[in-house]
Amino acid sequence: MEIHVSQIIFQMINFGVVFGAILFLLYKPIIKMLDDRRNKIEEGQKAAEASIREKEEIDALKKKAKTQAEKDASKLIEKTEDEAKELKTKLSKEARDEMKIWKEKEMKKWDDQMAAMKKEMEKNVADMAIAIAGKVIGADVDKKTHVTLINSSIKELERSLS
Amino acid sequence: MQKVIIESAIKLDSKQLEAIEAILKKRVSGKFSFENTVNPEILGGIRVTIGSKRIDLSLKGKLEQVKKQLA
Repeated sequence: MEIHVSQIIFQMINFGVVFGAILFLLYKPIIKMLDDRRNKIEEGQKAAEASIREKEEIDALKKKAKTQAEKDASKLIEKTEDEAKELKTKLSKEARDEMKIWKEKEMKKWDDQMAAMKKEMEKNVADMAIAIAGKVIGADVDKKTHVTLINSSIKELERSLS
Repeated sequence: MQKVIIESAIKLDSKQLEAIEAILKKRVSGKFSFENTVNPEILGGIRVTIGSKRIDLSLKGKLEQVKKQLA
């Protein structure tokens, strides 16, 4: 078989044309497509990572807010309990003070009543004693005693007028 | 002239009346007319009233004082 240089050259040109065609028509578009795809995948990954980070931040915020709300609620409950205790103590004291004042008032009223009754009784006893003494004396005084009493009164009259 | 009323449980005799008159003339100024009334309620002694002033030296008066002190 004879090798013709023109055939080799033709084949070389042919090859070059085919290679060029493949390069420009297939290789570069395919590479471009692969690059685009890789970029998309990367962008997608970045977006996913950003989304995951955002979600984590939101979760952290939620957790923080929940903890704060629980703390606030706990403080509020504690404060309310303290206020309730204070109010209970205050009301108890007020009730005790009122009771004490009422009791003192009633005791004083009772004491005053007892004193008035005692005074009344003493007066009645004195009145009775004097009435009885008067009756007894009136019945027992004879003339001689009368004269003695009159003379004694006359001396007393002189003393009272001097 | 002032009226002097002398109350007694029994009637006063003249000596007693004179003694009272003498005391009053000595100690109280003015002229007096004397009247003795018998009042058994005074129980004993005398009660002298000179105008609006009363000097109670009777037994009853003394009992009243005791009553006041007891009350």
